[in-house]
Amino acid sequence: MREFFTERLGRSSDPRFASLKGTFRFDVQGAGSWRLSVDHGELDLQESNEPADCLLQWSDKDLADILSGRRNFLTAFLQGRVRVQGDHALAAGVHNFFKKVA
Amino acid sequence: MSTSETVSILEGETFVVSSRTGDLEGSPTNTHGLFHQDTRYLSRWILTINGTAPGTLSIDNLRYFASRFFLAPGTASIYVNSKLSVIRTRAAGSGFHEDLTVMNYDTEPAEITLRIDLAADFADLFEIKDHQPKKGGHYHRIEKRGLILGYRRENFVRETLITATEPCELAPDHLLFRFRLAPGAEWSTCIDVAIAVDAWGASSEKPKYAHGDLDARPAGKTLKDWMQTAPALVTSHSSLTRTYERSITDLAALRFFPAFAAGGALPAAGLPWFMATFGRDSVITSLQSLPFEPELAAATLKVLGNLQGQVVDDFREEEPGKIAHEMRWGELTAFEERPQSPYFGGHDSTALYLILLDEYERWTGDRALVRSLEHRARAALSWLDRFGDSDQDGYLEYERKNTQSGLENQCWKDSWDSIVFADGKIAPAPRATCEIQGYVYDAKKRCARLAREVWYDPELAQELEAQARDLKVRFNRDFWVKKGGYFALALDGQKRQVDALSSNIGHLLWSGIADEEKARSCVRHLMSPELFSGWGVRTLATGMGSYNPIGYHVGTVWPHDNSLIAWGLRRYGYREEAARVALGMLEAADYFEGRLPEAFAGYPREMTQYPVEYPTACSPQAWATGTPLLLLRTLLGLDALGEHLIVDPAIPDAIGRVELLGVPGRWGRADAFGRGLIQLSPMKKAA
Repeated sequence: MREFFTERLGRSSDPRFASLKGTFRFDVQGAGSWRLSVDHGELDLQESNEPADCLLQWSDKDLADILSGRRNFLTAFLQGRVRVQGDHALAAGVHNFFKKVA
Repeated sequence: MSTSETVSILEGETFVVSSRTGDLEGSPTNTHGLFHQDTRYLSRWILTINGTAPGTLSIDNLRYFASRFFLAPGTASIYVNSKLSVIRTRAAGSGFHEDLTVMNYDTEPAEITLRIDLAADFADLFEIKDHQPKKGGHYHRIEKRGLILGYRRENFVRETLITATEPCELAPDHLLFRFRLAPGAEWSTCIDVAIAVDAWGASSEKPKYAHGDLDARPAGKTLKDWMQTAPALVTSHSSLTRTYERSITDLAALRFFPAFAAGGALPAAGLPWFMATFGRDSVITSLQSLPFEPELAAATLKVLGNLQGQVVDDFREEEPGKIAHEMRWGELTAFEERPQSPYFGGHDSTALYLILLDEYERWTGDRALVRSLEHRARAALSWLDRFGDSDQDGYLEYERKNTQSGLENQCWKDSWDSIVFADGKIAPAPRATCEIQGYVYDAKKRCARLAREVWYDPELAQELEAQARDLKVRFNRDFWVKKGGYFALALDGQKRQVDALSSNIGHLLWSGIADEEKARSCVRHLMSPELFSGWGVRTLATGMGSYNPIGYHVGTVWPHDNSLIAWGLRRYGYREEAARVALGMLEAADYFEGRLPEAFAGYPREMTQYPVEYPTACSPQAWATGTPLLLLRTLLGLDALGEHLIVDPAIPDAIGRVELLGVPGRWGRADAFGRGLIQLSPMKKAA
């Protein structure tokens, strides 16, 4: 889990975030909390439970299932396996990062 | 929004479909109910007074989100000299608020038992016409705050909370109010029906509107502001004014603020059942309305960009770079019994997205947005060449990968029997429909401009231009039906020409892929009695094996199809023909009180005298709503050139003077004027 956050979101910039500005906090039950600040493609990831504009919460098992491709992020969200609070529009900007990439 | 059968009100992602008494009598096959995000939160809501259902005296459609029903005991056909009156006022929004008032006009006191029978089946929209047993369990709780009806399937929880201000008996299937009304007295209660979605963390226990609260509070601009920011139309043609105002108002109602998406309001495909994000419909409506309400295009580009495909997923037909076709929120989608999370079964949406991206920049000059979406555009271009053309023959073809619930046809004519040979036989898959190749040509040409002027990548620009040139040459060779003198509807799985004569050839004019001489021949066909009904161009020509004037995509006339065809006719310089198509459509709109339907029958105009409506579930439909706007653009010959608005009118004399004041664009605001100088010659009659 830790590797996912540091490797997938731990870079300093990513053009796929070019249209986003805001802060996220990812709470993973049993693993920890990460806070990501995005400013039009510039990223800053910290292990932190400070408040953010958009809060996403999972169990470690559900997130592991999403990252391995066994579950889809959006259907997990609709099923109540991913909880989203705060700015939902921001959540839409990151959902693709939780897909398994071949 | 009322028809003879039902009354619909809506707000945001909530809508209510009721009978003319305001009752909801939903069933697995009846579409009444309170719906939110594709789930029916209330399926039954039936009012009786002293054991009798009241009848409707009249209905007042107060706002798009509110209705008032004037009721009295008895029915319309059995006159009862009633001394009781009932007024039921309902406002939709995150559930609904209902005010009930009962008045006694008798000289004697009245003992009243007012009962509302209720139920919530939590049906997914997709379940309603295809009854399937629910896989989760229903439950109810009666708490101090009110009655809770719920549904749970694993972590999927949806609840309806019902509360009333007056004392009542709460039961899992009804509310009961008992009271005595003195002569001349009245009794009132407020009832809140609130919805709760467990996963969202922000569910309210109250609907959006409260007692006496009928001032619309849309998430975006108010209707008044929306109307004021649209260009003003001044014309000597009075019904054109009505059609224009109707289109702008309906476009406001169609604004959809998807909860899980960035970027404001985009046009939903249709009300109420297609209040959802659709790739093709949202893009085309945004294109049609760009010179009028450009903010819709910006939101469409952002929202669809966020949903862009990233992985190969056959169930959703997702591929990296592909633009989504449809997004839904109900239980069947959540548990992957339907693929709309989102579903990617539209083979044209990706090229259309790129076309909109360029047109948006040309029109508005908003380079910041186009730069921020550069990586999306590059991924989309890559999809066109790689996944879109799966056999690498140089044309985009589709064949569904989800054989359980995927669409057989992934072009705009998406019914199963739309892609046919002239003799009526269905073309075998995979199918490369002609208009998709045109869109790809146009998308590459437009992205070449963006690459050169906005993304500063001249190499990409050259590459795309070379690809477009090559595609045009091959297309004019491989799709041309020599015997008929028109472009084939498609190439089939064996690369044979699917030789039906169809409206799709008009889209090729819009794209600019047709050689001039071939375009001339296509125009002759488009304006022939076989394709042109007198109101508009039919989807399929008379004389084709499958032609049926009331066949969904094989003979009906679709307004949005005609708006794109008229635009294409102007592109190739066929001013009179474009004016004729535009006039036919605008005259048809008069018969629908300014609101064009999704489609109407393809009968010849001289046979029926009026356009015969094709029954469809949604009204208004987004791209039919956008049609008069694109036709106005076409008639005035509006285009963006550099920092200027170009106006080159070609208006029929039957329409007369047209002024469009305050057209928004990169120039700020500009006015466009035109006079009706085109005299249309009489049409050739059908043989």
